[in-house]
Amino acid sequence: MKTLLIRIAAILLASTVSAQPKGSVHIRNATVITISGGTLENTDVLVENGRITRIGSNLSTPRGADVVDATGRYLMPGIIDAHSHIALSGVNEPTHPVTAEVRMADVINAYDVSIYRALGGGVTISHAMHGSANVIGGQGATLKHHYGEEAETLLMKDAPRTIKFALGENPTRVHGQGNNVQPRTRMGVEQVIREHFDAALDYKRRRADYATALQTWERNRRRGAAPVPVARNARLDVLVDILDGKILVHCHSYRSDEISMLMRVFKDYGIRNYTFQHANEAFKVAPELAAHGAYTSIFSDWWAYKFEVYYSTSYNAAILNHYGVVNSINSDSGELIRHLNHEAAKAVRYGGVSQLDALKMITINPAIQLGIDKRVGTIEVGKDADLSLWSAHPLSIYAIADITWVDGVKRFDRMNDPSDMRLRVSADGKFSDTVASVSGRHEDSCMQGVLDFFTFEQMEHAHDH
Amino acid sequence: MKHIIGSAVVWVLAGAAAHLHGQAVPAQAFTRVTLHRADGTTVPQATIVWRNGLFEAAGPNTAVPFDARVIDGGDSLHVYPGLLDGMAEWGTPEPPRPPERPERTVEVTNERAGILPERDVAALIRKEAPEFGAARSVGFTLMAIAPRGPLLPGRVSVFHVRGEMTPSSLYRPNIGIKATLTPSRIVYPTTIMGVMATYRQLFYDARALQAHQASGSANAPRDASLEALFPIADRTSAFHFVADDRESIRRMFSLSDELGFNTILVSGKEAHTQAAELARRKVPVLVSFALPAKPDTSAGRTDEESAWKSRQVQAWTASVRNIRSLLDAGVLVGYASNGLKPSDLKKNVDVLLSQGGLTEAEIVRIMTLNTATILGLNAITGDVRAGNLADMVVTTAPMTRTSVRTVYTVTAGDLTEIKATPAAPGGRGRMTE
Amino acid sequence: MTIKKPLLLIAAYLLACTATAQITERPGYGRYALVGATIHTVTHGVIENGVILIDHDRIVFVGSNVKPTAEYEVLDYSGKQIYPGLIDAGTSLGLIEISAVPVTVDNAEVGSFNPNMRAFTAINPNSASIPVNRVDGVSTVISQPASGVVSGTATLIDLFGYTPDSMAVKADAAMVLNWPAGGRRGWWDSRTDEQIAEQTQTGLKEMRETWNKARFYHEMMTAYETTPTGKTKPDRDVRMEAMRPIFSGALPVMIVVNRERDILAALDWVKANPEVRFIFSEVAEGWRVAEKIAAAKVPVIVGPVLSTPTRDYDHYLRPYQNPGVLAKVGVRVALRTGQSDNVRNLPFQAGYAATYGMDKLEALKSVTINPAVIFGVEDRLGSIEAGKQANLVVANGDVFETMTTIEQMFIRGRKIPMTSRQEQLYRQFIDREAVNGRD
Repeated sequence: MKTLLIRIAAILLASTVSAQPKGSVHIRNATVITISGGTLENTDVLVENGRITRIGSNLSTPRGADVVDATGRYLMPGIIDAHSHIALSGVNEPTHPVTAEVRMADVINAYDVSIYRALGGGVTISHAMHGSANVIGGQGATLKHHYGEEAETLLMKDAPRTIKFALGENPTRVHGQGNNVQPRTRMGVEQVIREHFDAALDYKRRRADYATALQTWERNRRRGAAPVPVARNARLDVLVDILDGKILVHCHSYRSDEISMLMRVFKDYGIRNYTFQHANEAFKVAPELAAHGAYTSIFSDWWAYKFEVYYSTSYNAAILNHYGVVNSINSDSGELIRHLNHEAAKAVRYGGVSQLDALKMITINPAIQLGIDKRVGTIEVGKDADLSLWSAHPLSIYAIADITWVDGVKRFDRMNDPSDMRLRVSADGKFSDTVASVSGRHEDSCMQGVLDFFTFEQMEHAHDH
Repeated sequence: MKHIIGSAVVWVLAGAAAHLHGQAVPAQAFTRVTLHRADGTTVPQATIVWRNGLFEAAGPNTAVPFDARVIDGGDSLHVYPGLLDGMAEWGTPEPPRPPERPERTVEVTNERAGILPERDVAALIRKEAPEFGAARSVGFTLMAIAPRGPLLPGRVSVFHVRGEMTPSSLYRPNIGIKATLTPSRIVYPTTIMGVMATYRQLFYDARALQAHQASGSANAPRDASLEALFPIADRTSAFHFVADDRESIRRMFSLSDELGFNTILVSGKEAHTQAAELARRKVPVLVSFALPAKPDTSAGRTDEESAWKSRQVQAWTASVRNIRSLLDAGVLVGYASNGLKPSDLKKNVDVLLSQGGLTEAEIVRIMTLNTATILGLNAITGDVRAGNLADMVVTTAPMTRTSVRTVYTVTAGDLTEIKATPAAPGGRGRMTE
Repeated sequence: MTIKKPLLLIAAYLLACTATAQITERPGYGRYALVGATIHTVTHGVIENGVILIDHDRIVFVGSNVKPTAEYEVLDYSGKQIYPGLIDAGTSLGLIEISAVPVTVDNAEVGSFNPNMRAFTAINPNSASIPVNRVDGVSTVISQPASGVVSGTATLIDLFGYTPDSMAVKADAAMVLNWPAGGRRGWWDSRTDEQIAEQTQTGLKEMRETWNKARFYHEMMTAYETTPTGKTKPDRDVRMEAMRPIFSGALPVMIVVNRERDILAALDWVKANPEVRFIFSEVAEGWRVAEKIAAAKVPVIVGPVLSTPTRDYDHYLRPYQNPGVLAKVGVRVALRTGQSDNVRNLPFQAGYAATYGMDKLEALKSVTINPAVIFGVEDRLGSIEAGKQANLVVANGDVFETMTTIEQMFIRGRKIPMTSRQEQLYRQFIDREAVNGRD
């Protein structure tokens, strides 16, 4: 009881100490791409205290709000990246095939300049995930890009919990090939999941039994031997929460058979609202995905970097969209996140997805997949004012992101950019220190922390430069 | 001089006799010294008397007992309370080095994972480590030592600083548990997030075991690691939490809120970024004096480079003023070497005085009474005061002057004469061995 | 009109054949008249409603207001944009099939000094990547070895042919020299600063020594060949032989270099070797020393443009601005993707360059005539002119725009079947039951 009171006090204190930043702004005369309600010409959007309060023509400026003349420019919802590893001090805990207990929320690095660079591409939210070394990885963190604030402010507190699963080559290479521990094959991947789900159900039952037995013993004035305690287990607690539908699963997967496998397993255990990440072969089972209500979050055009993506196609988005699968386009890269508008346009190029559907793939669709679609993903009255303003239609290669707002606070303004945007400056270091540029390969992000499985030379030359 | 020799004979006989017959051991005294108290006051022409390892009296008009062996300061010696090191690693074994590539199927053991909160350091210390002598020459008389290693490497114990550590050097065993966010690179957890999850699980398990044992159940198991955490979970003892950067300190806060434990922050090089929080939470800091090298301040070749350099200098200034910021915010600040060699201490102290906004009195207080308070020892040490442990350092000038030399260090009453090192080029003596 | 069931089945069967097998559609080859399009010649402006006449592998006419004679099959491209086939001046296309499968990776030989390695040898003409990338606008690439200090020779290939021999525009287009880099190479590089500095110095020293040895070998062999009488023939050294064309100016050296400090050191090297032709490749920090590069008259292959800044305090747009900054001070700029499987993103690299400061025509030149000039093949490639090779891109819009579709490619006058494994997978799975029946 005492610890509970202390916890409540801590939460209350924390929320007053780090109040969520909220801004007000009057964006005037833009072409507003609402996503949910058409594209409106010569339209104003009013933002007050972090919320969109009015959309209309020739509106009057609320007190205290800045005015931005957006004539000739395009306003769209802030872009949401459903697969990211920026702003993290660590990505993979690769020492066990199941590490559900670790949380990305514990290792947010709010001072990562990649956040700012993402804002420079109109991205307001990123889903910071565990890597793909483990069959069941750690819990993710949905972050608002409030660059300049502390980690607690970046974390979207009401966003649903998420967790990372991974199938195929990565976990079988790390654990099976690397450590002689199951899984070594796709067969093993399924069994690791089932085994752990069954263990979680047993744990849940035994914990409940223990709680009941303890209550009874207390009521009987502690007569007789105390019931043998069933220890609380951080890992199993999370697995129970997954089975109870409290956590959204995001599963790194490529081959169509492993996608089918997970749908089968999740059906057996009653898990819904999950997203296949990367899912390069999802198009081969698009009807099944639609039938199961499963989501996909994919690259626009990456392929051939591993065998399991050799038989994939840049037409993936078009086929999934055709079958009504809620699909998003993600980056999984600190480089790609900067031009997700350009990546979305590739869905139009490859297979003729409509421009609106292409834009949905970087706005409302990832919002649905992260369970935050009531708050973000479209420009609607009442939603969070996560917005990005562009010099031209965002799907054009010539479009430049001008301003990005998060909760109505201007977090990026191209005309007022002082170049050196570092939040943390070291007393050591040299002016000419370069950080090797991130070329945006898949291996850059998802397998961080798994150094032992890549020799220095392999990493160098596999990157084509 | 005459009565030194005379009374030395008496002292030896009396000492021998004391053991045989239980008589009082003769006293020792310094006369005509300038006494620097921990609160910053200075007492010129003071007399300091100690006996049986404790101060008997100290002040300007203190009488010298008849049986005291006296050393006359000649108005040229300065006496300070003995310095305390809140977290030292001298003499502790190197932590196991992770292999180049993690080995296949390495069994997960508490040792490999770094879960060793029960480990005592006394048995591990290499008694002849040279840093003990070096520390004593600088003026350290008491130090808290804990093992090195990831995660929870072991317990903190307090030792008298002698040239060579003996079993009698152990003064207070197990005053706390050293905690870090450093992962093992050998087995799980190998990441910070894994470490944080491990802390959670350990606390669940410790509280569960505590409840199980308390219930009187016949089959309650024993677990040394978990039992070592009971006092931490009860808040009767604290984690001596080693953390430097901003994020690590915030992670320490978040864990302590969630799991319910008290902390003493050790090292805290970026603690100034969290000064207000530390003050609000009443978390004391055993701060490191290791400062980054001063960056080059010559003009940049371009505007861009000049701007970059100016930010670097700002960052350096903030680091150097770390302690100042903490004091200004009302944080209780003590000292921890946490690996800073005794021979490197002086040059950092010089920077703290010249650029860090600290006075000698503040530095002395940090290294004496404050550290004692943080370690829970201020009732018996940290200042030259009757009843306290007779720990002192005697120097030729105020401690922070450039050409000062340590003449004696007194550890729990035992006096050691510090041999002078040949003067460095330029004629500046060093406060080193 | 209803289609009879047997015909439907035959059509489905045929479609299935093409979907699963290799490309079996035959490229057209003969005389074509491409009429009605906007022609971006690159070197002679833009021609509206133009006419291009192709006779087998040559362009024989470029103009407008001309009615093609009967032997030309007329292709109506009204409303389309026609560009020269795009040239990617830095890839590993055909050398790497799947980067995570080592046995399919052939761009990196063991050892630090390998001038005799030829990328040309290891090009896989049947790589699945080739059709995937050529249907999207790129007709010609430099494919280059990596690894070590001297990796070997890069090759310039058209993306059409059964053998490397037939694909090659220039079998050996440049010698690749990786300037010993001073910085950290990536997040996986855990070397200390001291280790990096030491290894860089060692690398530079080795490079200089080997270079001087090679120069000496060339002079010695030349002396022997000029007047062999009275001299003993020196032993032949395969590696040294491969270096000889550098010193005679026949083969340019492509220095892969990124950091400002390294670029300046490489420029000193260029100055010290006036008889050698040099090209710089990658050049991420080129914008910092653009004027010096221009003064040295070294052409530059920049990319990938879509990268993150090299320094954590850099302005966020530096990589996108890089090609434009260099072009503005007179450097001849070509672009590279550095890819093995997504070379098709080359026009977007140019699009970003054009958006962030590079003149649009300059951006187009950087993927057409500039790489042609840099590799000495401007007589054949890089622009739409009579007499040049018929490498053409027919697009339904601006070739830089993401949403544009490439409708037809011509490579060496072949009307390329606009299909690839990726496009076949689309046709197979957009309605898989129609193709393969119910399961």
